[in-house]
Amino acid sequence: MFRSIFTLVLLISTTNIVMANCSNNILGAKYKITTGVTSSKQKKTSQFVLWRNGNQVAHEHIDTHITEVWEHLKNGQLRLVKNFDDYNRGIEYEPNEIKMQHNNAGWQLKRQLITQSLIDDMKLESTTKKGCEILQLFTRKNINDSLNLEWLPKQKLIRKLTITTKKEKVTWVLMEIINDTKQVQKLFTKKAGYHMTDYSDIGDNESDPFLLKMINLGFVSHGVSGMYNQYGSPIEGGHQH
Amino acid sequence: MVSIFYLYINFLGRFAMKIKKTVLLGALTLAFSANAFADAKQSVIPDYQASNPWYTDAEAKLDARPHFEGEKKAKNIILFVGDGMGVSTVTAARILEGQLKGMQGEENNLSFDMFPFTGFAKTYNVDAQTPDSAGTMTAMMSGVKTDAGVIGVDEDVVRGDCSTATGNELVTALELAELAGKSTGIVSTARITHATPAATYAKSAERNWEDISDMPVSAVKAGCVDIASQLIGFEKNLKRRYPTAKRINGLEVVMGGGRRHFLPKDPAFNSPDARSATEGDRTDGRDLTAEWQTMYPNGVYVFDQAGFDAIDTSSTDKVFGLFNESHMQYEADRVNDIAGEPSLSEMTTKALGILDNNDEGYFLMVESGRIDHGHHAGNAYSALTDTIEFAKAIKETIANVDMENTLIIVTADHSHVFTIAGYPKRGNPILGKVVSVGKTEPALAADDMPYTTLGYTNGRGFHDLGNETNADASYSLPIEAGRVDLTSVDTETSGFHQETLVPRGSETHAGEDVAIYGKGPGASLIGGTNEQSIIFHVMNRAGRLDKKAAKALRGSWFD
Repeated sequence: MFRSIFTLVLLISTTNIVMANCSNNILGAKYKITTGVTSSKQKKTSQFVLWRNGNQVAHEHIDTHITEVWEHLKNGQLRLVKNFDDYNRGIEYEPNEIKMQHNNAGWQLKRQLITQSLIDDMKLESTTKKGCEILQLFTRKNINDSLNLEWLPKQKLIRKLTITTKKEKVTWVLMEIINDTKQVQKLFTKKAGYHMTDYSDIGDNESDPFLLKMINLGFVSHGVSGMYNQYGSPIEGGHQH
Repeated sequence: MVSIFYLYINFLGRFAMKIKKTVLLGALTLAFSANAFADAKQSVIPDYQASNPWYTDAEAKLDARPHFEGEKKAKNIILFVGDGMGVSTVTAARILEGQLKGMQGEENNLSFDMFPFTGFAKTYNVDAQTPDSAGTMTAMMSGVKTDAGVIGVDEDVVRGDCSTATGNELVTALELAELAGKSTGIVSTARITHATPAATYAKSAERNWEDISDMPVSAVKAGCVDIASQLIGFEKNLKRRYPTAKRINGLEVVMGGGRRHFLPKDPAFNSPDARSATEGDRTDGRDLTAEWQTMYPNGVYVFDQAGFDAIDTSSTDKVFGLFNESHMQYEADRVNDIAGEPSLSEMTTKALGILDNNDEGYFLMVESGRIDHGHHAGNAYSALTDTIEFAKAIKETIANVDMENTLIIVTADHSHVFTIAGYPKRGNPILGKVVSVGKTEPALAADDMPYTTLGYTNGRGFHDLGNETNADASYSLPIEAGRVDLTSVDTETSGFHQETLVPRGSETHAGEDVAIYGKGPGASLIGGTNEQSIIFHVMNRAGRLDKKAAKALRGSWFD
């Protein structure tokens, strides 16, 4: 009972998150990510925005000004355009140029940042409802780590996720949901207007100062830190910037 | 010329005793003068091209070369270009092909290893010691070396400056063949608007202007035309340049990738097998595939394996095949393509089936465009398997053409910094770690770690992507130059990327000479070390392309 009250208080107290719209197909979700090293009091924060527009998903890394736009193709494969927002340029990757699972789990990882199979592997502690809004609390604890997940199943969004290992603690907190369709689509339209280069053409275009610089910055192959795959293993190795 | 005149007169005289020689001589003199006047009116090769030192030097070199008396001229000419296929790539691919056949490998021969005539090409561009594909292919197709990054124009062009292209356009061997009334075709596993195929038909101050969206507004306003548009406008453009030409009828075969450069940036124009939400890139609203079909109502436009398979070469006049939005798949990856793509050898065979319908003969350029990409990604597996497929295309061509009247040239545009090193024992897996003669365990370097036979001097370095068959996947990982402990790594898998010394965003071209292989009439002109531009001159002489083109322009029976 106390757990339910606590959950309800938590739900009500988070007044900055507008959750009246329970659709999940076109939205933006702003996150604050806090990473703390267990052995010290140092903490690092970063900002991340998940954008959805039908069969397209964008991962906007605010601090590095890189936006990855993932597209779920008709055949189930995923296509990636990595956009460098400071330069209005992008690199296009074909599905077979991306080493990842081109299946439902892979798309879930991009679209909702966590796979359903991982959620299914966790223990459902409580469920609360408020109108169309549902909040589920999940936990999982094993010898390697412990997970605490606040999950919005209607919106298919993480409300809060805490991953604690021996070395560090990573917390994702949903700060805001954007339901303005125009705003969401404007972002995708803007990115699509960037000057694009094929991934495989980079080798023939190193006279291009942007490509040379971008290559040397390193690619973000693994997105943000703290995400787990369906096997419970960290699938993202952390920022490479 | 005068002596030929009198010989001809005497010849006629034996069979036309009643015709007075004076009358006949006068008539012939008139005809000769008329043709000389016609020659003066329109040169097939622009003067600035024919007088270019690269051009004249090559002509002089061929003049000095020993000639085989009575050697036939080439009715058909096929130029095979392995993009980035340097000598070390040929050697390694040869060994790999042999090992895949169950041999030790070294004793194997790729199809073109058996060609009777070989030479070397110096590949440098006018402004670059280590060249790029644009300048090198321009040299091969036009007989004139030029700068890096430009297509079909000479060194007086400033790269990226549209206004400098006009007046510096070079005529290519393919265009001469077209003028002469031969059938013409281009096949590539790269985008068909990419540098190598583009240099057969386009003129551009910038190789990256593949469609209008790639061009700066200033270039469009200045009147420069994107490469895809030039492909579709090939017939019209050539007729404008040669208004007296009567035999131009457009390219019979165009096959490759790059569909996005021919479609508008509008999902409504997506192909049925489109992968992207919006397949096309063009911002001018033009659907060039539709324009092509309007121009050639008897032609066939195809975009997948099924369409390709349905082409009947005996009854098809023209084919336009665009099998991928961008480049076609690596051969090792082709099975993963959703709608299916034909292989390079399939495309080549199909192309020949269409081109050889013309009794005048044909000119075909076939490019294996992704050997280069495999090397840039530091993945020998992809580069070598594409080379093996390239060799297969050549092998099947030899079996399908009449070698009595077909000249085949095989070459590369440039090399890569790809090495075969160490002292591996005979038959050692070419993709494996070095195991020395008499040993069974990998040799260790001075750092006590094993090392592979194959390596790259620069690039992104080691990556073990297991069975990832697309070489470009390595670009997504950090650069890892230098040594890595490969003890427990299977270096023979498709996803293994060899170690490198110098860290770079991607591996580079190399500047050393590449090989030229020749078979068929005119191939004896290949030999020694040459400027790369000599390849045009070999093809031109072997097929008498400029003379046949000039004859076609004159409409004369003089040859």
